[in-house]
Amino acid sequence: MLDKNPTELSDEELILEFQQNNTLRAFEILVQRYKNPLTNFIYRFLGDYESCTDVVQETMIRLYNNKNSYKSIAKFSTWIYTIAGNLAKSEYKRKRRRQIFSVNSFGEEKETFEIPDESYRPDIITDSGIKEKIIQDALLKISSAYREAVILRDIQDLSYEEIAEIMGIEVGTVKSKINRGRIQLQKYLKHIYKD
Amino acid sequence: MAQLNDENLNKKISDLLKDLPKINAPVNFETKLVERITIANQLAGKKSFMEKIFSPHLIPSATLAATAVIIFLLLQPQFEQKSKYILIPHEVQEIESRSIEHQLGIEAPEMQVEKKQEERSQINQRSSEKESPINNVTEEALPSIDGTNEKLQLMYDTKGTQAPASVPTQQPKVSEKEEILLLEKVKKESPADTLLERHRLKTSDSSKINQK
Repeated sequence: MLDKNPTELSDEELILEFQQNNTLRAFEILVQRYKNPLTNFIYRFLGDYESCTDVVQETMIRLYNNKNSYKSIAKFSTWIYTIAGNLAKSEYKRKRRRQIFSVNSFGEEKETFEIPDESYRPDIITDSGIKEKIIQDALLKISSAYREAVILRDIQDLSYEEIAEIMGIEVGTVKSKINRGRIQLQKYLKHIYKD
Repeated sequence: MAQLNDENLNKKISDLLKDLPKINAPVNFETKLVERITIANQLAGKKSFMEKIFSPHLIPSATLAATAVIIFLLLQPQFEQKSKYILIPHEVQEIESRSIEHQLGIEAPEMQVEKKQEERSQINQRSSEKESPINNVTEEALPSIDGTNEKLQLMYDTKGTQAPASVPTQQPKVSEKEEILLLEKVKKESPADTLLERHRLKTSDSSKINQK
């Protein structure tokens, strides 16, 4: 199969080559093709570059170790996006547990304290950076299910069918989730799109 | 009109999101990935002893081995004896408690009742013996009348059809209380043997008298 230039092969052909002959070159090409789209998707979902890189690397490790769990009936892109999406959701939950914690045992009142995310430093970013930051914050404020659908549709530019396959839901549900997500975003981004 | 507004808003939001700069993976992404894969492979190769033992492919063989051991134990010839103690714990307990009581000198309530009954029956026997003249005959107790033994005379007389006309009056009377005390004393010294001996002596005496 590698008689052709491997870079010309489709994703499905490359994963097949990696499955059958354990060709590391095929794996490398797949990593090169998907590292940036996945990084973009995960970063928009988590809002943290460091954990985003970890998640993408973990996705690639899963691809390397569980290459045989891929079945040729599905598109490779949807398969790898599903893995990355699941890992991102787990990481998001873990981060939330870490950030919000109860201090009931220390105080008399039953209060919870949210620790602010200090990874964003407004004093060191430009105006365009501020706009980007506001959009990113708005994305993080909407519910995770809507966020995933909106990112996959509006940022990753995937089709409704692909999103339905990645999220494991019906196309109609995908459309409604995207719509609701956009409505929620409107509340936070009114002042930006009025300009 | 409202629908158009919604579509416009949706488009604006969509455009805002599409205009966001693309985030790329770090430059050393592949290097780090290779490092992580090698570490993961090394860790997978080094399985701990516990992981090896509890690995899923060993479960059927372990189950078979355990079953074989249980069957072997059940079919062992000595197991029946052992199982008696294992399966009937209350009986063993009873035996143990009795042995402990015996060691401490405490008797079980049933045994005490039995002993009391035995004592009563012996006392009754004794009293009945006292009533019958033949059984109470002793050489010391018999006063001699004209060089002859009155009791023996009576015995010879009673060999006929007539019953003995009189009971010897000079016989020493032992009260029931004294009898009980004596019995208890004897029982303490050697409970069963002395009683049996006494009984034998009495019976042999009476048989001798009868023979004479």
